[in-house]
Amino acid sequence: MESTFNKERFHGVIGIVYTILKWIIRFGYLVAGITVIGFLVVLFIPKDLLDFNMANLEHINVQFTNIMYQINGGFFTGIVNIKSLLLLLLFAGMINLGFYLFIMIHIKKLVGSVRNNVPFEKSNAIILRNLGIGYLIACVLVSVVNSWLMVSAVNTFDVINTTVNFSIDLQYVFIGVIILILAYVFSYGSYLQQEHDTTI
Amino acid sequence: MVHTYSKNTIQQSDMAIITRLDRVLADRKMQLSELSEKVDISLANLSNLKTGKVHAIRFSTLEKICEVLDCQPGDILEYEKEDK
Repeated sequence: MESTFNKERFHGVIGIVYTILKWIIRFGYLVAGITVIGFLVVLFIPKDLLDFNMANLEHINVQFTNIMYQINGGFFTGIVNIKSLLLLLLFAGMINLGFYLFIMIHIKKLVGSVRNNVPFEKSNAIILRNLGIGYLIACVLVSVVNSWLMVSAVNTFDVINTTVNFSIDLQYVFIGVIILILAYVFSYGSYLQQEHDTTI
Repeated sequence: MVHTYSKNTIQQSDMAIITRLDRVLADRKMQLSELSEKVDISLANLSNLKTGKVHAIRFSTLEKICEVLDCQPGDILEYEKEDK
């Protein structure tokens, strides 16, 4: 049976993906470091320094999925202290960034082992298992943190007639379950690989 | 040794197939490297076979080895039950 899979091209693409992931992760570490430093700075700044006069606000852009709403600045009045909101924003940023870095690092490890022609290894099954569990945890944790942030923003800016709904994005649950199934497949694959390698 | 895939771990049974390749090579006054070239199997794999580290051997491989060494499969493979 002729093989229709171009191995050289595949390895070329995998190499490019690996390099891109490597640089994305490095950039992610940089942004995470800046976020952590920002969090610590805001934490120790005196509260009085973070009073914000709402009259200076021209407008606020709020995005829901693919729709951007613009709320005019005249809607908000008074002086608000934004320290708690900033802290929560930076904390939410750390959680979200941490989740994306977790995903990228694990995918990079997987891509690296496929690039080295060893896809069916027990370590890859463990990586996939950790990814799947991470997705299932993140679908709750990230939703909780983001909803908490929105509630804090609504309370800080005293936006009337506004409710924040908490919901879990089901696509993360499905992705997590699929990845866990793949982890089992790779685990069995590593057993078959071991059997193949020890057969002459 | 036979390995089976279970839910949690790979289990081993208490059977053992021993290879007597070194004995046959000594009788034929042949080195492992020479056998490796004649049967077109890597020296590493033949070494694993000799030391009992392989889990399985294909009939085609066994046929090549028996052809080169002019022996029977029973001369190379021996069954010995392991004590638990």
